[in-house]
Amino acid sequence: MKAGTDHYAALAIALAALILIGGYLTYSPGIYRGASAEWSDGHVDFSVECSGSDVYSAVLISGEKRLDRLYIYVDEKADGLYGEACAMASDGMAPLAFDRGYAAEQIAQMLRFRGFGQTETVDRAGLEEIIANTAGDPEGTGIMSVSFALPSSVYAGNDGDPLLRWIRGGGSLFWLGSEAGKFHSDGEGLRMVRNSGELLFGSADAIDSSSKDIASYITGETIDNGFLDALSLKGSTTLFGLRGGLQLGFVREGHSSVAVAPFGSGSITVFAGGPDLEQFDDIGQTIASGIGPDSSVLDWEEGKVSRGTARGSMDSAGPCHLYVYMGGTYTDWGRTLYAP
Amino acid sequence: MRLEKTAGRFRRWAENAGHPLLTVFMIGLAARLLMMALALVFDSNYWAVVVRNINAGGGLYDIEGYFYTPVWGYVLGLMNSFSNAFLEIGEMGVKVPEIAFFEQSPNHTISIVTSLAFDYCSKAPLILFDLVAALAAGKLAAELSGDRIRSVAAFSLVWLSLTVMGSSGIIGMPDSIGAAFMMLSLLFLIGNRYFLMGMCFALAVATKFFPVFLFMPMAAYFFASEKGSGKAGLRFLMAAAGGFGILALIFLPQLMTGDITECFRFITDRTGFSYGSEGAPQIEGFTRVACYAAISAATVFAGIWVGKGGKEGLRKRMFTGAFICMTLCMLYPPAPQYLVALIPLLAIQISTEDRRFIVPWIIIWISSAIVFASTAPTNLLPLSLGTGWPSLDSIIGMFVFLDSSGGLFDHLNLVYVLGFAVQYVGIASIAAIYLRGRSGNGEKTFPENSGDEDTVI
Repeated sequence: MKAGTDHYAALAIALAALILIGGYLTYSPGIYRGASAEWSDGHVDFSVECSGSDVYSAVLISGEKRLDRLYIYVDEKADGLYGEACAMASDGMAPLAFDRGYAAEQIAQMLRFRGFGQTETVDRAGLEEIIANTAGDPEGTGIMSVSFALPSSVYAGNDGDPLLRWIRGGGSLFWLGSEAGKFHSDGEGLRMVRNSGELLFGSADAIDSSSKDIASYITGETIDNGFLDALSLKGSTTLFGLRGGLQLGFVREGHSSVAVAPFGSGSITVFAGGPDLEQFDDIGQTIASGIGPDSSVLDWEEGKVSRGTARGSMDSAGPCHLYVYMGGTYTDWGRTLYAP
Repeated sequence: MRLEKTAGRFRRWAENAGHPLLTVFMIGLAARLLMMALALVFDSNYWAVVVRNINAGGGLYDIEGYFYTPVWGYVLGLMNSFSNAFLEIGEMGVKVPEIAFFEQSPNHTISIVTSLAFDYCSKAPLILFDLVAALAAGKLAAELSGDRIRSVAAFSLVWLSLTVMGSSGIIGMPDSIGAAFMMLSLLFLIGNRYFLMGMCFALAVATKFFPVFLFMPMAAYFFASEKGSGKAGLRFLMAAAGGFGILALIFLPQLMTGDITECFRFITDRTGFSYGSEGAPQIEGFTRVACYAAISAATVFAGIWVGKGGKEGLRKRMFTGAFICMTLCMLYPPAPQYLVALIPLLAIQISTEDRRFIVPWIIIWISSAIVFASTAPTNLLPLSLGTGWPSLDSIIGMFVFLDSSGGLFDHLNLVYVLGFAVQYVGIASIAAIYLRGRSGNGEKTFPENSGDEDTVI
């Protein structure tokens, strides 16, 4: 019998070996990716390098919002307040339920492989500390809330709150998974800010949350300002999406899947929907590409790069920066290249 | 009588055809090459995400997107490295705004459509595992019957099963990897190659959990066949070494990084223990747990039955016990890809035990056709975007019809439920054949033996 199974023994060993080799290659794919740009007067020459095979896009963007560090706020008491938030939001959509710590980790990952590694998860005390420490010069600092309520000590729905002063001074606030600025909490109970839309965005119906049917927020209508295709944006829900600011991606009744709204010298970026694969990628693309409220796509090229280097050039009138990424819809690498 | 005639015709054809195995292989391969142009985009999108995560340096579990044990991920990693080194598949998929509204449907679908090149590339290894499962089934049939024609029959019944073809070729599910290693482990068990048996069994279980339910019949066979040999302990240790050795290597990256719980997230996700699971998912999850607990208990009885009869007829009892245990696994939840683990065992029963089992094989084939057809519009998306045929408008029209209400369910669900109902008829027909009494006579499977005892296929 043994002789009869010799071929199968060899086959089984070969298959097992291939799987183990696949395991090694999964954790050590050994693919080098890189990009560089040379800026000259009114012109940028760029090169994209890949030791494997990939697609690339090079996007020339005006109006940068350059971040040095992003703090992701995860309220350790959010789960305990969730039921209360749902009851209070009875006139619109309740905040989405998800593992906020995990979402923060995923956002950090999405930014890491796009060349933005300076992320940190903070709790209530950490958030208060960041705002206090950077209040003098918030430019370059970003805060992302994946929690539906902010600490009352930084935001209580008043124009003079530390957080709003911090944004006006040049800070960047990012929001995901609930109606931006709708709730605050002192750690014991939850308070609702009834005029959050007007306070943050100047309009009572700035946020899309009127329908109870989550599927109704999904849309195929696109915003034709070039960002959708240039950045391969994917999230097509407008739940909690913003009407106003620089709108990117998909739009439904004026509310977009991604929007960057100016607020004093700073900005508030609202990502519609929840922590899905598409939203995670859109967050990575939007933040890593350095888009500000007054950004626009000046030029955009795409192509293939296989085991070598691809080159291109664009006219770059005015202040701008270049965002190069590979993988297209399935972005696996990105870098933002600034003019010296 | 009709079954006897059909079996007789198959024997005459296989005896007279120059290369019957090659002919069957070519037919199955051609069918697969055509099917691979279709894709269940909801799943193929996930495979593209896995490849992206690997390329992004996140391995399998650092970045959201992979919820299974690592084996299939490693296969995708291997294919990714191959395509990086030698191919140029371009963009793995694109968002199609025109079909964004598909995502409003409660039926799982997505408006990101993978490319034909990616679909072919990611499914290619699964075709190899289909082939290994079919070859191992053929070899086992030959070992059990000593008849080359039965071996060709078993190979054909696996290789030409629409369930197997569609699971790998259309929906790109890794069930055939588990089935291939399961069949190899059975082959090595009866061939007394215990280290390899343990290795293959562990790989099968680490890919898809269903083969774990074969443990009791296989263990009963082992101890019954080794009774009196004085080497049972040592051989058991060899099997354990093969199994645990490969498991240690497979899970080594996750053990080192502390991601081991992520490897089994599909279990917590599907048993209602994940974050936010409540209501219907939790009920469905507990139903699964209850079913698998009952099946586990049943496998103990199957093991006792296999081991109790002594060495005479031990092989056949083991295969029958394994077949019954796997059939029980198919009771809940219904899904065509799960049946991939059953088909090779069913093929062995048809070719070596009782040809009446061809009836459930045919019914399951039909049920798979119905289930695959229920998702036809989205299955056609890669072909439409890649070649322009069929047009996106016609796919949208088909989807709108299928997604619209047909009373209690939408049309798509009606087709889906019909497919699963037929699948249950197929499973029930296996029970009916046992209840009516199996022939238990190998002679009845394929009429006359040609006398050619060459079992090598």
